[in-house]
Order: sequence, then C-alpha cells, then structure tokens
Amino acid sequence: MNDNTLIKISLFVSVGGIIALFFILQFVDVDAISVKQVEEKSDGDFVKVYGQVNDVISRGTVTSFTINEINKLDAVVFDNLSLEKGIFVELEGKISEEQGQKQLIVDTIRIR
Amino acid sequence: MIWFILGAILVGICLGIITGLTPGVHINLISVMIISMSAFLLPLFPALLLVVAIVSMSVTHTFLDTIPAVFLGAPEADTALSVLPGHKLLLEGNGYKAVKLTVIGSLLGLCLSIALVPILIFVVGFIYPFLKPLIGYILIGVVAFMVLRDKQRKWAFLLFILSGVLGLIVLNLPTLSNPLFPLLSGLFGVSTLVISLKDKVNIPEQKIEKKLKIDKKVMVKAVGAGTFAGFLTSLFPGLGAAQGAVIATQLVKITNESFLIVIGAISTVNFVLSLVTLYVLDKARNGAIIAVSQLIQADLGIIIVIFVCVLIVAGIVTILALKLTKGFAKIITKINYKFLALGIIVLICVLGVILSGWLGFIVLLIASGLGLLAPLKNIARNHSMGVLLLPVILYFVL
Repeated sequence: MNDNTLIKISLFVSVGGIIALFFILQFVDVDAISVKQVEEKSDGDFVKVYGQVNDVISRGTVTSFTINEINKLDAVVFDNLSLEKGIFVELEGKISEEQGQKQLIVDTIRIR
Repeated sequence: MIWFILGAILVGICLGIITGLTPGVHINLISVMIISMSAFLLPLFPALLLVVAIVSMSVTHTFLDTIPAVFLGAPEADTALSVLPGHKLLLEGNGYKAVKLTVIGSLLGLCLSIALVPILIFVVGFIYPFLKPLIGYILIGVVAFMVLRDKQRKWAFLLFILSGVLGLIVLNLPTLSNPLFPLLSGLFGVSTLVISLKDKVNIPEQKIEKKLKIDKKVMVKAVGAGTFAGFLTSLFPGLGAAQGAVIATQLVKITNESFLIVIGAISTVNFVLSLVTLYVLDKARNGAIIAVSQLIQADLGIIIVIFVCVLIVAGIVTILALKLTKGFAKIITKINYKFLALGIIVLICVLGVILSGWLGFIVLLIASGLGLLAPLKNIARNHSMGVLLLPVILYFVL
C-alpha cells in the first residue's frame, strides 16, 4: 500500500463522515444545550441540559437544587429526591421565569 | 450544530497530538482534567461537544502513540509490544515504515470495527451475561497461556506476580493520586529508555519509502486478527493491547510487519468498541470512556453521532500521522539520542512528582526497577501487565 492510497482512503473516510454527520444531525436528537444557552430560551421552552449538582434543598414533595458552580441554573423537581452534591445529572424540563430569574421545572432527571 | 461538532473534533485532535506524542501524558489524565473542570465547562458548552472532544482526543492518541514508542522507545501499556519490532525497523532505517504499518492497522481496523458495530451490539448483549461469571477464570487462562509459552517460565511467572503485587498495593493506596501514571511509566517507559541508554543506540539515516511492499492477504489477516483481539480487550476488563496481541498472534501467522499492523489495530479498535460496551452494558473500560459516561447518556443517536465523528477523526489523523512521522524520521538522526532519552526520563520523573507526589515518585522508581527485569532476563514485557491483570482477576474470582 503506498502513501497515496492511504491518503485517498483517509479523505474518503473524513469527507464521507462529514457528509454523513450533516444528514444524521437532521434526524438524531442531540439537542442538549449548555446552561449558558438557557439564558437565550423563553418562558415555557422545553430544554435538555447536563450538569453537576451543587446546592440541594429538599422540602416535603419538592426538591430544589442548582447545577454547576458558575453560570448556575436553578432546578425544581416536584418529588422528594435525595441528590448528592457533585453527581452528574441529565435534566429535561420547561423553562420558567420567576422574578427575572430563569429556572428549570424538571420533568425527567437521570443520574449519571 | 455541525460547525460546533467539527470545532470540538479539531480541539480533540490537538489534545490527542499532545497526549500521543508526549511520553507519559495519557488520555486518562486529560479526561480526568476535563471532568474535574466540567463544573466550569458544562455551563459554557453542551455536554455532547465535550464528549466529542474527549473521543477525538482518544482516537488521535491511538493513532499517534506508536510514534514515540518507535522513535524514542518510550511506550505506554498499549504500545509496549510495538517497541521491539518498531525499534528493530528503526535501527534498520525503517522507522517511517514501522509507524505507517501501525497507522494502516489503526485505520483499517477502525473502519472494519465500525462496519461490524450493528452486529457487535447484539453479540455483546447476548454473550456478556454468560461470560461475566467466567471473566476471572478466562483471564487466568490467558495469563497461564502467556507464561507457559515464554521460554523462561519461572522468570515470566515471577515478573507477573511481582507486577501484580505492586499493582495491588499501589492501586489500594488511598493517598496516591493518578497511580497508573507512575506504575505504567515505570514498568514500560523509564525501563525501556534506561536499557536503550545502556545499549548506546545509534540511529541510522531514516528511509521514507512511499510504497509499502506487503502482501494484501497478510494485511487483511493482520487487520482481522487485530480487530478480533481489540474486540476481546474492550469486552474483558484488565485485558490490554499486550494480551490482545498475544491472542492475535495465535490466530494468524505473524511477521514483524504484520505484528505492527495488529498492534495498531488493537489499540484503536479497543477504544472504538469500548463505546459499544458502554452503550450495551453501561460499563466503562477506560478513563476516557468513564469521562464520557459521566457527561452524557449514551443513547443510540448519540452513539451514532460519536461513531461518525470517530471516522472523521481517523481520516484526518491518518494524514497527520504520516506527516508527523516524516518529521520525526528527519529529526531523530540529528538529535543526540542519549540526551533525548535522559530528557524524557527527567520529564517522566517531574510529571510523576507533579501528578502523584513524592509517593508517586517512589512508585515510579520501584516500577522502573521491576520493568528492567523483562529485558535483562530476556522475557516478554507483557508479563508486567500483571500490574492490572492480577487485581482484576482477584476482583472477579474472590
């Protein structure tokens, strides 16, 4: 196998990969956003975010917590959960705005 | 989104160039750093981009890590066995050819393993529940086979046991951070460099031959055996590229050249297929995959996107690897090898102290001493993998 053949295979794989990626992204759900992007979302928008649990407060059937240390996002779950600080979570839910502050009303929480 | 993903791929490739070409800097280290910084990174970037960067770095690493292994004799666990045939070709002026063979193995093995992913998803899910209770005993069988095929069985067994005991002690030290760095750098890196210093190596002018004469049948067999062995290493915890290579060499007739193709294929296929293990079994087999599993839920859509990114990276890095190897081949004869080897030993020692403290430095010294046993007694280096295998075997058997 000479260098040119190897380079041709490489180019085929890379360019083919980029074209495939373009089409796959039209169908695959990769819509998890960063917490910073939550700022651009409106009240009622449904989002998926990943983050690290920070402060947790559990009161009765409501658990509220923040994810991440900088650019924090407040999240509320209407359930009594025992979340530990530092764990990674995947959250899905609706954005709600309270006194100018955005928070996530969590529908689904997955602990990583 | 596609531009962000391509950006993450480029960042990953740049990180992979650093980890791949710098002896002792492993992808696990960078992955741990990314995870420890995730509280700052996740608010700024979607988790998928961090995952794509980690995966791109890891794939790049598996393509490039044979360059320091061949040219500097400074391998990691995955490339430890490529040192001898690679170094032999280097001393014949064929260092470029040696790296090119591993790159061919990596690229073709990666393409073959991705083509087999739909089948492997079912195979892994089906056979793992049957294999799980037997893993410890299968690993004992692999170790016994490796020891018995060595001409100096007693020394091979002693090296396996001593490495294993060292692994058991060091991996259970609660105060030692990054224990794998001093362990693996000592056993496979520093010891190899010390031997090459002792042997007063002179590196001849390197030939850069664009055409590689290798029988297509031999190449296909080597890629197939490497892919199969890479699949086994991704399925069984503790089974590394070295053990995979031993298994592969039993499957097909191996020459020095096809052995390098096998080694290249195993380490890349092992990483690619550990993504399948993560998706099907939710089990992480290496540091980078642990980082991926913490950052994101590996559903089918995400896994497809990651595999396509892996293909893009593989194509880019193949061309990059050939260019970098040509550069290395030109520079290596102009550098005083003795000073270079000494410089790398000092670098590994400094990194050992920074990453693992003075206790890590002591572990590095002990591991380096133990690593000398294999070349001095003329036994295979892969017995030193007892450092990981013995703790894993005891975990499954006891």
